[in-house]
Amino acid sequence: MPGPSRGRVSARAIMATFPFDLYRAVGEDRYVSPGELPPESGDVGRALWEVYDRHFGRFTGAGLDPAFARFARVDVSFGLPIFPPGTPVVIAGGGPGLDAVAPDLRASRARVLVITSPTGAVALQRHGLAPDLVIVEREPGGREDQPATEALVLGPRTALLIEPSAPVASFERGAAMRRLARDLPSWGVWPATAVAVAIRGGATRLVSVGLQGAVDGDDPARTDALLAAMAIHAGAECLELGASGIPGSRAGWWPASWPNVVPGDAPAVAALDWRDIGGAELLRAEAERDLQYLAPLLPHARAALTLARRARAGEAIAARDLTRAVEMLLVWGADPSIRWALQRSLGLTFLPRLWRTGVSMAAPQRLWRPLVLTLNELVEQADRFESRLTTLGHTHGTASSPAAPPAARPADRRRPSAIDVDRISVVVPVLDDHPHLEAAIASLADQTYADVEIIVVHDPARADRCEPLRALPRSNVRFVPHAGSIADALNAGLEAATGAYVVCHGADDLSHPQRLARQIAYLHAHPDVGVLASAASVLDDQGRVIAAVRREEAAADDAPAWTPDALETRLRAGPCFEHGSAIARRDVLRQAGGYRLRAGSPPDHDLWLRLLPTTKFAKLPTRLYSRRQR
Amino acid sequence: MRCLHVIDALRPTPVTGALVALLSTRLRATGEGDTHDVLAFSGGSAEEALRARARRLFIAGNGLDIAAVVHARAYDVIHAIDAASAHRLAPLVLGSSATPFVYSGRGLARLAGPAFGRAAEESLSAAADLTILDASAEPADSRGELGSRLVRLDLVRSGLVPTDGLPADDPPSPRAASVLREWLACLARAAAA
Repeated sequence: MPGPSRGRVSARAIMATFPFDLYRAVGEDRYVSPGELPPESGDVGRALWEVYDRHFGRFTGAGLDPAFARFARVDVSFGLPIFPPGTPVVIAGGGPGLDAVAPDLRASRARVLVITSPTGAVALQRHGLAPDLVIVEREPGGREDQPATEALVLGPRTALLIEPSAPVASFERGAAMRRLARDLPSWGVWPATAVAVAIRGGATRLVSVGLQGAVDGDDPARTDALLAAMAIHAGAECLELGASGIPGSRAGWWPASWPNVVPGDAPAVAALDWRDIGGAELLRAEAERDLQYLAPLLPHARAALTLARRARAGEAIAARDLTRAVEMLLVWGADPSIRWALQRSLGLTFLPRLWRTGVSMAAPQRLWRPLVLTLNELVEQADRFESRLTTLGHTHGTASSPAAPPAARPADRRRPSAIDVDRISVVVPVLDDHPHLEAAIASLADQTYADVEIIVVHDPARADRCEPLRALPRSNVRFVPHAGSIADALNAGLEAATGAYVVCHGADDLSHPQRLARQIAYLHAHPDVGVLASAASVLDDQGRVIAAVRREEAAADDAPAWTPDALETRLRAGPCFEHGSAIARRDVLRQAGGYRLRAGSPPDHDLWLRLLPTTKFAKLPTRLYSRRQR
Repeated sequence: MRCLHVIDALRPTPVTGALVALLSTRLRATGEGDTHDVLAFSGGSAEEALRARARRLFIAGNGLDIAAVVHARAYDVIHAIDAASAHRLAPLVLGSSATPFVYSGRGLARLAGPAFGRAAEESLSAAADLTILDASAEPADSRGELGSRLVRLDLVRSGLVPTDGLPADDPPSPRAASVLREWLACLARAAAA
């Protein structure tokens, strides 16, 4: 009989009983229908599928990485926590039940191990308790850069176990140890993840505390159902401590009071052990394999998306063509290897759901809707995925250690030996405090154009301002310390640039994700144009659009592109586009001698006037650049 | 117009407050011919306020068959008011029904809590029959291609979506009432398209 009075259960027996691979695979949305479950999954498979079907709608979204956060940090290794057999493992949430148990937990703290979430760690902190392990998962559907709980201060006892797709901020806490969790058995419900991690690590006695109301934004019935299914099939002793000393009622979890939690023969001191399982190169190698595997599919996806967009625009598209495109998607969904590669590597959310709900062919003229929904996400994510991999590859081959301070990298200053014909070098002068610098860098790093290097030219006195950038997942950022005027800083950036195209970008300003891709496409199509600007808007401090930069840009989305002749006339009269919106051919700028300070004219306008006799200017009508109002 | 409004949870958030205000506006401004149902994926303390204003309130957490609600009740328009609900329901609605789908989650995104990745957000806007953006929060950019499928409403600056999480003023300010009527008109337009 399970429960506190049952004899000691061996860790080996439990680990042999609980089907981790099945649990993880269902939670990772690998199966579309119960018929795909392995035949040997039996009762456990049926129980898990019932929870998956009824409470998760057959899609958890756990483990997906739409923001490619797994590429963010390469200096954290993977690890698995090991729990000593016989030691009670307390899974503590911040719900009301914690208040009643906290004094007992504090008194026995040395003899138990405590697992929690970031929010639970804050609740424990309020009771003067520090957890042994904090599990950081990406909340399915969570904001891309959602920070971890701000109030959390982790002590030297606490280790972080981080899902590779979790927000980057999760890495920055002062924990004693940080480990990435490869193949985390996650359904996106942290108490269940904690149970799975504990059992996989050899825990034999689990105690839940304060879980009622502890899962943010979640359906409590979902958490209870999953925990019940795990407890019934895991074989470990699962105890539940209720609020105010009243036992809880979760199926499979035996009500207990604190004196029964820590048996007399439990070890006097409980400590986690770790098994290292490599570094982030594993993820990158895996991603490169995925990209190779998916490459033949992507042209078909792009063609189908184009077709669907034409149908959306009202163009007469043969129903047969739209139907075939939908059938292509459904065929992909019928192949588990394609399905898995697509949803995991690209972090797709709509196509996996479509494979579960199906598509009705009854109204062919409306088929553009599911096609645009799923393929737009697929194509955009594929572009970003490829871009991240390309950037990583470039950085691994050329950059110095990200841990080195900016001023200690003389290699950054050296004159580039070769110019890359496809690369865009974006120079960002940092000569002031620039409160929105991180946002500016993020908008550049998120460009859909793949080959971008970001050169931060900073006053050495402002080196501290650049420090936070080194913690960002932007491995294509280089730092160039340079004292002098704005013109000198821009010229230093030009000197360091290795791309054939150069942009001088404001340190508080933003670029649209497709800005560089659009501009480079225009320049490829117009080799006689040396400088290409775009319309721009003005943002307030909160990021809200205040206005177009210039009156004539107010209707820019509908206006024709500015022609070189029109721009020449306007330039001679004064500035007519935003400096940061311009992309220029590097050779053109260098031949003109770069920027200089002249009274009566800003350095950029002075440069444009000197370029007028030698090259053409153009300006895209779409507002691709946003300048922050100062 | 038979409209199904979809919301992630019935917690007292600014978005829930906006939905309550929208349903209240229907009672005053658009006549008895319109019916407004609400589908939520989990419950919460705003349930009472919504139940009083909607014709029917479905809570999927009770084991409800969501597909049955969407397909069997023949709605003229399905309106996802937040990103989470749109994300969950869009493949079902867009893939297996011809019902017009309106997505307001983008307009309320700044106050709606967790949002989704940029690619997913763009895809929702691109595939919806009508997307509603907040007039002040979105930079003008490539969504020009959506043309008349995109509408900008002054959701935030009108005070319609209070930032403190409490229900909006009742009655709403004249400016908010105007935006609410415009919002309803958008739904009706999508239903009629």
